[in-house]
Parts: sequence; structure tokens; C-alpha cells
Amino acid sequence: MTALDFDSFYRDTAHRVIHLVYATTGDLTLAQDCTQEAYARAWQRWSQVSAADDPLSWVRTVARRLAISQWRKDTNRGEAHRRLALVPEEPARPAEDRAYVVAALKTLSPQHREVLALHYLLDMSVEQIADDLGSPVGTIKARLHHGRKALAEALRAKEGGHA
Amino acid sequence: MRENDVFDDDWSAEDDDLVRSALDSLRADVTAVPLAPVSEVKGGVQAPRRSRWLMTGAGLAAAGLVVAAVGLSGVLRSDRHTGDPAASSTTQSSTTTSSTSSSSSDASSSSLSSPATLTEEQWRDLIASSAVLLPIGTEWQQALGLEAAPTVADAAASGGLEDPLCLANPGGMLVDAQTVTAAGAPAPFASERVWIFDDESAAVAALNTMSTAFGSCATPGPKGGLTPQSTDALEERPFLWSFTTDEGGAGWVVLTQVGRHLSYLELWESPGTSEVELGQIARLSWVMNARLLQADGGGSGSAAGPLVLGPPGKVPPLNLFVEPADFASPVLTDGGASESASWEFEGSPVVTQGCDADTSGSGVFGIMKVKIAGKDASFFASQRIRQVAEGESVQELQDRLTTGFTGCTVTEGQTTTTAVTGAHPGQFTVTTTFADGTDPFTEFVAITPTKTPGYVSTITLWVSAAELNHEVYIGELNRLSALAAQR
Repeated sequence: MTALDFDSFYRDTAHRVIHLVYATTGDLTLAQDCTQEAYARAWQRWSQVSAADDPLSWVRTVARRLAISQWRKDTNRGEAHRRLALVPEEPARPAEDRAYVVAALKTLSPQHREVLALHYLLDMSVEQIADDLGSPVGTIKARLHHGRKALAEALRAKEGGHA
Repeated sequence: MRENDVFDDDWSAEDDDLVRSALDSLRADVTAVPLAPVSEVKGGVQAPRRSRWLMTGAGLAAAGLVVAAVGLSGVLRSDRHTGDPAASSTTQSSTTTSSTSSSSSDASSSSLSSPATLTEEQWRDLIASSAVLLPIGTEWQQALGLEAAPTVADAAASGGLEDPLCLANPGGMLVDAQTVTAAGAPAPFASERVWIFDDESAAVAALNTMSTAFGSCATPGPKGGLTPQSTDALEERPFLWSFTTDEGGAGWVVLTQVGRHLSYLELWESPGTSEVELGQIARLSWVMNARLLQADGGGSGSAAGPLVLGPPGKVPPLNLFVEPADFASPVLTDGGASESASWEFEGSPVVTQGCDADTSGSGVFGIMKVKIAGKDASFFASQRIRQVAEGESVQELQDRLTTGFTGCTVTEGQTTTTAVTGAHPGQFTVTTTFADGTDPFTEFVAITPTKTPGYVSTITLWVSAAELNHEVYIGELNRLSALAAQR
């Protein structure tokens, strides 16, 4: 692929990656930042990444890893802010009619959100997710099983409150 | 709804649509914000590199970033012994992207006999004295001829390291990253790091990628670029480059690849009163190679060893882990081979579904996950090695980990996880059940101190209920925990 191909690749796929990371973290700003960083890293080694079977998979994985790592740091920072009574910067917020979806997602653990995002947005099977995350199939089944039920319940509860 | 064939529960198509449409709806938030311009994406990663140079420059009272290639002929000291990697004549190498792996080299039989500062036996003893992947302070001292050993510190403590020069990131898993600071100096003069790859070919490919990047280095990086260097003694692994620092001194880059490991060293300032010379860097290269050979099984070309993931710079020595091949058995792999494999490490040390008291991502730990060789979605075991925290004894760590399982029952939604103490100390059977009748699954856990002081192993076997025979799996757990205890 050429440099021009990278431009097309980025424009054609970046929104999908942001979407996946957004669903995994519930944080749109984080998703945007980490996606941009993942594409920047892809550009650094574009000859390798573009030659891979699935360049988008590479970018997706990097973006998710960055987001989860950053999310963990932000959680710690948020705790420090609370302890010190500091006011953190305002993150980008979802539109009003999606706010309850994000709120429902945030009732789940990161592990549950991740499995749901991979399954529903990327259409990955339990086996594919297990292989990707290095977990037993049973663990992924349990996370998907519990996560989707919990999300459905939270959505219904928040949808009721939202209406 | 693809999972209805997996779950025989009350999950409905309506529920599935609700979840899917909710997740899909987030797309509207995503597309409402325009993407960053592609030029920004391509240029965005240059900022850290610039800041690193500026930071380093400020720390060194540097006047600017003007650099140029440096010729190094004639800079060697005259007092070196024959056979010392530092004693050989210097040349500028034009072959920097060879795919030759150095994994077949053996430190003990290398033509690179003892460097001048120590005898060969002393070097061997020094390298064998600690199971680490990168040169330690004493080795830096001896290789560079310093009066005092520099401080080699975890880079995470100082906020991590910037990308390698020329943004030559190799991929792989960063397993250690350190800064090196001369005694009494306010800022580091060098850094060193090591990555591990899925297999040797990936490490060789990364070596070549980085070599190519150094050979055509554009900004950010030294303006004069990097100049490949070599010595006669290091002819088989000429992965040395020089550059001119912002003060006009000699800067150095070294790559060393052995097996699945690739290490990178960058030196941007002299730690002493004179410039660091090629011969001294050659010594360090030799030590780097010897350290990786030691980690890789002494360069015997033996099995690839465990693939262990953990926090960068805080992974325990790999020789503490049970050989992945030893997990294979008629029970666990149906007679097939087993292997450790890569997976997505996200910072957590937790290896069981519930009750695991090891939840903090801080400290030194590593996790190896084992699957049936060549078969997807077949992870069946893991081993975590956790180092004691500062001020903590092995017994205290062991107690902390076992206490988490003792009498543990955790309910999360419709899943309940219960741990039952086994017949041997530190053994537990952890069963997760589902209120709706979905098949339960069981984890067999063994917590064992290693023979090497300061570490505790946790081995977990994952078994689905359909194939469960407790006694058989506990037998396997005993076998594996005994192997862990010998490490």
C-alpha cells in the first residue's frame, strides 16, 4: 500500500474503531484520542501493518489496549481528584438521547463491556473472543451471558427513567 | 442471535435487539465529530520525540539539537586485551539490516573473550548472578570503565521512556525498560529496554525493521542521522550505530536479538569525563547478548520458553515459570502438545473468575497462559508469578493470596462463584454456576512459593463441567504445582 492508501484506510475505518473503543470504555474523548494514537502508530510502521492480513484488526487492538490502559490511569487520577477535592476537566459527553446508553454501559465492568463490544459490534464469536483475549471459552461465555443481561436490565431501567 | 445455540436460557430476540441497537446507537455520537485530519495523525506522534530531545537537552544544558555523523576510527584505547570486544579495530558497517539472528551464539564459547576490565570468568559470574534481561549497574560500570556503578532504575518510575530513535517501534511486548544514571548525576545518560515476540522470526523481523529505520532516519531524531558501526569481533551481529549528540559528543544505539527477545540501548551522553567509545559499547553489546542468551536457555537453542505478559519492566524472570510443554498430558491436552501463547494483557493480575485476591496491577508479576499447541480457543491453564512487595515476606504474600479463596462466595448477577479448600495447603476448587442452568465451569487453583526466594506461583486449570473429574484434575494440579515449587 502507499501513503495514499493510508489516508483512505484512515478515513474509511477510523469511525468504526472509535465506535468500538467508545462502547468498550463509555468515554468518547478517550476513544477519539486512543484511536488517533493507534492510527499514528500504524503510520509509523505502515509497511508492516499494511502487509498484514487484517490491518484494521491491528489498529483496533492497539486502540483498545491504549484505551484500557489510559482508562485505568484516569480512574486512578479521578480517585486522586476526589481525594484532593479537585475538579477534573469535563469530558466529551454523548448526545442526550444516548446518555442513558452510556450510563447503562458504565454499570458493567470493563471486561463485560469489552466482550459485548467485540461480540455485537465486530460480530466476533465466543471462540474468537476467547482466543483474542487469552481466556477460556467458558469465561467469555460467562461474561457475555452476564454482561448482556445486565446491560439489557440497565437499559430498561434507564430508558424508563429517561422517558 | 448467534449465541442462542450456546446459551440455553431465557435470552430473547427482543433482548438481543435491545442490546445491539443500544450499542449501534453510539455510532451517532462518533460520526457527529469529524475525524482529525490525516496530516495530524501522521504528525501527532512526533511531539513526544521532540519533547524528549528538548527535555534531555535541557537536562544536559545543551545549546541545541545540531548533530552530525561522527567518524570513530582511532578512538580506541591501546590497553585492551586481544579478544576483548573492545579491542578490535573499528569500521563503519554498511550492512545493517541482516536478518541473521544471534540466537545461535553462545556467550560461553564466543570468540569475544573476556573484556579487559574483568576476566571472562568474572564476567560469567557477574551475568549469572542475576536473572535479568538487561545489563545491571555493575556491568555498565565494568563495560564503560566507570569509577562507580551507575543507577539502573525502572523507567516507569520516571514516567516511562519515549519511543526509540527514529520512532523505530518494533511492536512486541515490552517486558523491561530502564534508565541509567551516572552516580551523582541529575539525569540519565542512557536507557535500555527489551521486548518479547511470539516467536523468533517475529523478533528477527522487528530487528530488521528497526535497523531499516535507523538506516533511513528522518526527523525526529539526530539531524545527522545514525551511522552504522561495527567491530571485527562483533562482525556477526553488527547492530551498532553512532550519532552525534547535541553537544557534539558521541551517542550510541545498540540492538541485540536472541530468540524471541529484542533489546535496545540508547546512550546520549558520556557518563564520565571522556566520550564513550565503540569498544566500550561493544562490551555492552556483548553483555546484552549474554543476558538474553541466559534468559533464552543459555543459547542452547532449546525450546522457546514461556511467553509471559505483565507490566512493562516488572515481569519476573522467565525461568521461574513452568515450561509450557510440561502442561501437556493425556488429561489436559488429550496427549497433544501444549504451548504458551499471546493474549491481550490489560494490566490486571487476576487469573480466576472470582475470589482472586491478587487484584492490584502494581508490583512485579507476570502471567503465562497455556493452550493446546496449534489449536485456537484452547487455553486451559495459566501460571502467575508474583514477587513479594517491599517489606512483605513470602509467607505473607502466600497468606494474602490463599485468604482470598478461603470460604469465598461471590455472586454477580446470575453467576455465583464458590471456592472450596482442597486437600493440600494453597489448593482450591473454584466453581462458577449460573442461576439459569447454564453449564458451570470449574477452576483448580494451586498457590505455591517458588524455590527461588521472593516469589509465589499461582497455577490455575480451567475445566468445563461436562468433562469434570475432580480427582484427575487435582492430580494434574499437584504435578504442576510441584514443578512450580522447584523453580
